[in-house]
Amino acid sequence: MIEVAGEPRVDVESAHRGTTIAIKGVGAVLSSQTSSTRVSLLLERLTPLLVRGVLASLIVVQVFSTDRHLTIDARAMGLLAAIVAVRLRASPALILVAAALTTAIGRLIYAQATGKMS
Amino acid sequence: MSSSRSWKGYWTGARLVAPLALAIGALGVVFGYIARKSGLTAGAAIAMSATAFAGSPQFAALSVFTAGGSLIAAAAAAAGLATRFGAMSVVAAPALEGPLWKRLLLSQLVVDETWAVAYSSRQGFDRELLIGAGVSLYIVHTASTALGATIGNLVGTPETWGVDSVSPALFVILMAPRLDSNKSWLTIAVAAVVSIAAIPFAPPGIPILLAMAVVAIVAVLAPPADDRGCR
Repeated sequence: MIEVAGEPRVDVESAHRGTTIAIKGVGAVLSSQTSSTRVSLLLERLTPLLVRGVLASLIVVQVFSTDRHLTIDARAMGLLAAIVAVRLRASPALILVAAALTTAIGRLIYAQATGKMS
Repeated sequence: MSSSRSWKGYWTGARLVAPLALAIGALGVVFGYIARKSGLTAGAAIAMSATAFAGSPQFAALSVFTAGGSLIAAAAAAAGLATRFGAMSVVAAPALEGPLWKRLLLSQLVVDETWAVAYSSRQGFDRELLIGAGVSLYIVHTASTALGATIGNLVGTPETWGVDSVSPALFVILMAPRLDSNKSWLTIAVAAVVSIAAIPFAPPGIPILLAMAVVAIVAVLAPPADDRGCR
């Protein structure tokens, strides 16, 4: 910075302080108002979609994968049973039991037929 | 907010996940038992359930650990599975109010099931629902781990009982009322396709995170013209 004596230096200092305050102010406004409002508006718009996306992804991963392998086994029957039970407007507890029981029976039949656990 | 309304919310949250308690409990018992078998003390197994409060990342960490993997590898396997909780917490963050320590504590209750249950289409993420669902599952998870670690495996192989189909069935229940528009169906299709495509290539847990990312990107890029009808 150029060394200036007297009045101009005071101006430089006040300009510097002014800039700092302005930047802080803009920063504060940006973070507390503009950006956070925009972020929360965006989040508000995205949340319903993300909920659907996560549910779909969780179902796919939990039913059709074993580690890194895509698999179709007795869990697919459980999923089908859950969907049917939901369509029949069964109670939540009944839907979960139907899914588990169908999967268990599927595994039992598979084990009986092949001598292996699916 | 009156306390009676809070209690009603907590109760509703707890009731929504109650049918899950048996499945979570069975897995907790098995986790406690396997943890003991692989050389952890009962205290360590219980502490792991009490502090991590997450099913699959714990099993993942344990299996790497028992396969002779390092502690770092065990942590990495768990972290891969747990990344989605970070993204899910961001989405649920507006519901977590209060001072930082309180919000951090509340965010610990976020797991797949409690997160999904805490979302109501009318008011977005609901703090009371999250607490009610989270605390009750937390108690079941920790207590059942203690049971498995001290008494032994009471449930055998939980897969025999189809326990692994319970959680997807809950998600089907939560999904059913949300199949309400073309946009919903499109979102679900995108998430499902991304997940299927990613499963063979990405470490466990990452496909869910990728599906969230793609859904978010598509939603941001797509014109927000027809936002109605999808809550």
